Amino acid sequence: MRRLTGCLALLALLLAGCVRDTGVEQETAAADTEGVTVGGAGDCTVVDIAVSVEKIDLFVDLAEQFNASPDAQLDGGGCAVMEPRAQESGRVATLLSEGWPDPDVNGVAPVVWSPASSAWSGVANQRLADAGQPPIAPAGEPFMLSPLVIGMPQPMAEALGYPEEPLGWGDILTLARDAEGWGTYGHPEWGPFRLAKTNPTISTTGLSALIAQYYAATGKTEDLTTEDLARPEVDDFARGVESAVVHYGDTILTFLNNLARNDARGTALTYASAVATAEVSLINYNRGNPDGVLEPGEELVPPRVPLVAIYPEEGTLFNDNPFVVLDAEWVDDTERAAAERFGAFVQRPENQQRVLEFGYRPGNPEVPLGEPITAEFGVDPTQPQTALELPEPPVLVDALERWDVQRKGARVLITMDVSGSMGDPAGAETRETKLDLAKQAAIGALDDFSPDDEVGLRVFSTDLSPTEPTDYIDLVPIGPIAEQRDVLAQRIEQLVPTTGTPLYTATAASYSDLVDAFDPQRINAIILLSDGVNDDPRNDDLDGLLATLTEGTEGGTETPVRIFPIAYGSDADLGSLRRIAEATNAAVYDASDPGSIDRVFTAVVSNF
Amino acid sequence: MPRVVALLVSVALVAGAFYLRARLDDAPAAAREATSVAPTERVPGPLEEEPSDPLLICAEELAAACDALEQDPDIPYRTQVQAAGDTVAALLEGDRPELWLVPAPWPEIAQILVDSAPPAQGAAQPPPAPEVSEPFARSPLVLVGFAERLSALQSVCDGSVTWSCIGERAGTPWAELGMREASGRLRPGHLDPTQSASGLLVLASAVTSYTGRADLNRNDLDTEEFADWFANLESAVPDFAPPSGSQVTEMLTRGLASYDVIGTTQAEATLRLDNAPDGPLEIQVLTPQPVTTADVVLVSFGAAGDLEEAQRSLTVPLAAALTDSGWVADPAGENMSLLEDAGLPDAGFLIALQERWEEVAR
Repeated sequence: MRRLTGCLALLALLLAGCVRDTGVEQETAAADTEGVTVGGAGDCTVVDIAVSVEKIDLFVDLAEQFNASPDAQLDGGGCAVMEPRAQESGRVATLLSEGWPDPDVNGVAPVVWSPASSAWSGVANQRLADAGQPPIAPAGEPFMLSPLVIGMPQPMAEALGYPEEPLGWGDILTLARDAEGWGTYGHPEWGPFRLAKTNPTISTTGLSALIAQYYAATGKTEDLTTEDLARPEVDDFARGVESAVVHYGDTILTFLNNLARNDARGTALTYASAVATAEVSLINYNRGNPDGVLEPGEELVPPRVPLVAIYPEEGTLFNDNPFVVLDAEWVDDTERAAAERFGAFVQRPENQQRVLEFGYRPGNPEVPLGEPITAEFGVDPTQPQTALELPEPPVLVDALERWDVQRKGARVLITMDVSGSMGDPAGAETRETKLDLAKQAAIGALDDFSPDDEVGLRVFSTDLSPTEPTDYIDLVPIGPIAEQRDVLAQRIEQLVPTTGTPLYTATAASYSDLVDAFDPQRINAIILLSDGVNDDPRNDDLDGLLATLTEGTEGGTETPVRIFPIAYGSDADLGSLRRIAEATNAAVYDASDPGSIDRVFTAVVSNF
Repeated sequence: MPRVVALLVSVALVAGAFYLRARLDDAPAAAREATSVAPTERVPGPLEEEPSDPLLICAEELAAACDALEQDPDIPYRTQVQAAGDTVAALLEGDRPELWLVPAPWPEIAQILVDSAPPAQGAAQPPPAPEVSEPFARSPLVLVGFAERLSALQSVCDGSVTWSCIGERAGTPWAELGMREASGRLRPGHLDPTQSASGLLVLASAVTSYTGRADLNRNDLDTEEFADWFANLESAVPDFAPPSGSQVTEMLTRGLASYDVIGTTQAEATLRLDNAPDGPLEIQVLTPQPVTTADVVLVSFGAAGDLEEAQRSLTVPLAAALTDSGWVADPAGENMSLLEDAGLPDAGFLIALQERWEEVAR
C-alpha cells in the first residue's frame, strides 16, 4: 500500500516526456508541460488541453486545422485557440484530484482532458469523492477507440495456434507457468515465455491489462468486485501472469523500441514473447514506427518479424479516449464554449478520418473501419468479440493495491556516481549541489519499491577505496528493502563527492555481480546514475563493455540483467549511457535538468 | 400469500389506471394550472430566446426531432432532452414541465407513480392530471444484429429470430450456436427499462414474444418458467450503459465486442445505420413477429386547452422532424392507423416489469 500510494503521488510528478519518448530515451518534463501553441494565440481564448501522450501528434494536427478554420470564431465575437499538451493520463488524474497544484511546475490547469481511457476519469472522481469533493471529470464522448491487445511475434502466435485457435490470458498464464517455456511448443530456442507489460499505476495499457487479467481469472465480463479480487484463485492467476514479466515501466513504447532494435539484429523472439499494448501501438510497430512519432527524415522500416494482435478470448477493454470538458473552477464559460466547439470539430467525419489514418478506430460511426485496421498491419477489424466492463472506481483502486503485492519482485542495485563533479551546483539559482538533489531523489524513491523488493547501494568514483576494488564500494549489500530502507536512506544521506568517474568499470562490475547472483524469480536490474563521462584512463573500453552486455542479453539468456541509466546533469554522457541501456534491453532516462531528478527517479523505479 | 398480495397490487394498479383515464378525461380546468419547472439539465438553445418560453421535454429517443425544433426560430418552446426515467423522477419530485414528448405509455406510467406516491410536502392537493394526445408518430420495435450471427441464430431458432428464442439462448457460447470460430457468448442488449423509454418498450416486447400475448398482468411474471427465461436473458445483457448513449452506435464503433443483437426502434436503427457506410461487419435489421411499436404522444402539464394550443403550433413541424429522424408520423391520422394497438402490455404491467427487472438485473 505504501508503495502504491507513493506511486500514485509520484505519478503526479512524472514527466510528460517520459512517455513521449522518441527512442528508449525518456525525455524530461520541462519541454512537455509547455503546450503546443498552434497558429499563435493572439487575443484569442486559449483552451489548454491535456492529452495522453501517445496521441499528441494527432491532437496537434487537429488543433492546427481547427485554429485555422472558421470554427475557431466564437459566437458573439472573439476566437479560440486550442493548445494541446502531452500529459500522462495517470498524472493528470492525480493533479486534478489535488486541485491542480503548482502550475509553475505542473503546467497550466487544463480546460479539456482527453485521457487514454475513461478509467482515469473514474480514478480522479473517486479520489475527489473520497475527499468529500464533487467530481471534476464528467463522462466525455469517446473520441476514438483502440482495444487492448496482446501483441505477439507472428511465429510465436502461430506456434500457439493463431489464427485458428482463440487465445487469451489463460494461455499466457499456462505459458508463464511452463518450466519448459517455448520448448513445449517445439521451440526451445525461444527460451522462456517473456511478457512485456507496463506499470498500471502510471500506464493506461498497464491498467487495462491488469483489469483484463482479473476478469480472465474470474471468468466474468462485467461486475468485477473487490470480493472477486480477494479470491485465492484470482490472486494465484494474477501472480502467475506477473511472474513472466520482463520488467515494468511507464510506457509500452520502451518495449516496442527495444523489440524493434532486437528485430533488426534478428533477436526479437528472445527479447519478448508478448506485449500488452493498445492496438494502435501494434499498428505503428508494424508500420516501422515503434514509438508512434515520425521524426523529420525518419524512414519507416517495417520489422522482419511482425507482431500480430491477439484479442483475448476472455474479452478486452477499449482505450476510449474521451473528450472531457472539465467541471473545474478554473474553467470559465467562454473556455467551455470554445472547448465544446473543438469537441464537435474532432467528431466530424473528415477529422475522424484522420483518426483512422493514425491507427485508431473512429468514435464516429459515419467513418467505417479501413486501412490501417487491416490484417496487413497485424490486426483484425472484426475483433475483439467480447468487451469488458470498466470496473467501478473503488474496484480499480483495489486492483492497483493488489497489483503492488502480486507483481513480480525486483532485485535492484542502485549504482551512484559520487565523482567530484557531483559537488557542482545544481543550478544557477540554488546553493544545492547535484549530489544533494540526487540524494533527496534516491531517498524518496526508496518508498516506491515494494516491501518484497531487494535493493542495495553501490557508489563509484576513482580511488574510492584503498583496497580492491578501488573504484566502487558496496555501502549496503542487496537485501530486503523492508529490512534496510532506513539504512539505505542513511547511507545515501552521508554520500559526499570525491574524485573521478570510472563509469565503465563500475558498470561492468555491477552487471557482473548481478549476473552472478541472478534471481530468476525477480526482475534483476541496475539503476546507474552518472553525471559525467568516463574519465578513467585505465578502462575506456566502451565497446568492450557493450559487447559484454550484449552477449549477456541476446539469445534467450537465462540471466537477463537490465541497466537503467540516469543521465544526470548537462555534462552526462547521454550517448554512452543510451548504448549501455540498449545493450541490456532497458531504457535510459534523461535528467539533464538536475531539478528533474526527483521525477526521473520515480519514473525509473516504475520499471520494478 | 405473496401471489395474493401481487394480485391485490395488480388490481389496485388497474383501478389506478382507470382512475387516471377518468381524470385525464374529466379533470376540471381549474385544477390544471401550469407551474414552472426548473430544468435539471443543460437547456440548449439560441441565446436570444426568452427564458420565459415554455419548456418541451423530449425523451432521448426523440432527441433528433427536438434538435430540429430547437433550430426553428418559429417554435415558441425551449427543448430539453432527458431520459424518460429522469422525467418521471422529476415529476415525482413535483417538477412540472409544460410539455413532454415521449413514447406511450410513459405518461400513464408516470401518472400512476405520481398518484401512488405520498403527497409532496406542503402540497394541498395532488398535482393535476396531464392531457395526453393521441399517438401521432410510430416506429416498430426491431432487432438490430450482426448478419452472420443473426443467421446462426435463425438456424437454432426454428427459422425465425425472436426475443423468446434470444432469451432462451442468451449467454450460450457461439461455438455451441453453430459458429465454431467465434469466441464469446450470445450477448443481447436493451437499454435500462427504468430510464429509457424505448428500453422499457423493447423489454415489454421481449416478454410479449415469450408469453405470446400482450394482455399480461403481474401474475404472469411469477411463473417459474418465465422467471428462468427472464433471468437467463438478463444475465447475458450487459448492465452498463453504452458510452455513446446508443447501442447501435456501439455496434458500429466497437463491432462484435459490443452486442450481438439489440432491440430498439426502427427509427433509431434507420437514423444510425443510414449514416454509417458499410464496415467490415454487416449489420441487419429484423422486425420480429408479432409487431410491436413505440407510439409518440405529446403530454401537456398545463391548463386545459394548452395541449390543443401546443398541437396547433407543434404537430406539423414535429411530425416533419420525426419523419426526418426515421419515425412514421401522421399528424392528421389520414394515412395510417395509429389508433391500432401498439401490441404491448399496459402501463400497470410495465411498472411491474420494471420492478422485476430491478430485482433480476441489479
